[in-house]
Amino acid sequence: MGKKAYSELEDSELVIIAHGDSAAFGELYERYVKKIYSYIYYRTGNAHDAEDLTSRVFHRALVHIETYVERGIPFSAWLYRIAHNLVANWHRDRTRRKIIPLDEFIAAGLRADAPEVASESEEERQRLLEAVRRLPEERQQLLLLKFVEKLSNADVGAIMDRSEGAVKSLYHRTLLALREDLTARQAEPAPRTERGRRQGA
Amino acid sequence: MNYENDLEVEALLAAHLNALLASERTDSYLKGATGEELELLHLANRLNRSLMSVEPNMEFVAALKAQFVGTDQKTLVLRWKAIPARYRLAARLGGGALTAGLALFAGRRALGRITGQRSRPEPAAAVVETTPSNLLS
Repeated sequence: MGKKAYSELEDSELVIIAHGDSAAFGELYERYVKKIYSYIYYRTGNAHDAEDLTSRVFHRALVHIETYVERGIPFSAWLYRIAHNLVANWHRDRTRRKIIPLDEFIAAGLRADAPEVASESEEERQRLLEAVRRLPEERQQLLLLKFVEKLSNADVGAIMDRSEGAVKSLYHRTLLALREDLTARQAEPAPRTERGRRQGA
Repeated sequence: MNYENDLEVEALLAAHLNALLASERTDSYLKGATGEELELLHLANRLNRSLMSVEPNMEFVAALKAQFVGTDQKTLVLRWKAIPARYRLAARLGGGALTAGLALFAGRRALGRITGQRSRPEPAAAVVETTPSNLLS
């Protein structure tokens, strides 16, 4: 079976073929590597660790792909769970959390179809991203799965092992907590960005 | 519009988020909301503008893929998995037996050295022959 045929198969079919065929695993990799990288990037805050952990996610998936079938969750959810566990271990191994450099987000490209982006200052965005990173782990995970990965509540529920109702409730509580955090820090001076430091130098 | 309980607010936020993620207009949600709900909707809009997908370096993506899909179309892991189960079991047993044999060999050698050191006789003290002439001198 050629690569073109693989692109037409469902994940579940590819998983079975991938037990003995690396090309099938390659197709699954192509489908999810960018999403997994993006998720890990936000959780770690830097490209180097995001690449390292992305690599580990797919290596682990390859080694354990035969055990996936028994779990009864979508393959993508299974990958995100692996990514989540590796990121959690990564955070445990480190005492400090790095702040996501704003310049990297700008380099990643702003959405061309969102004119509001230009009106929101860099510092406001930086402040919001930092507030997101101060949230408890599961709340960060929820926001990334929804806003970055654009997953449905059912998929998020499968990844986080929660019902759809629980996901909705968590989203509500997360927004409340985020708003509270932003309000509490509103009076504080905004942190200077890398770009600001360079311009000021 | 006033939302009487959390479930209603959750439903509003979920519907608004679905519209946001589908790139649909969300004006109607904002117009109908007041107070805390309106603030949360605006916050969701800000999140949607700030949290965007990040693209990995394409060289990294290609290099990592090459680890899974090599030129021979088989990685080491997949080659191992492709071996019939009975051969894999035999290889595991053989490997285990070899490891155990080496461990036993090394253990016996180490034990032999220790016991050898313990049973080695003490250096003999100078023996002075006690002859009548010695005693006299």
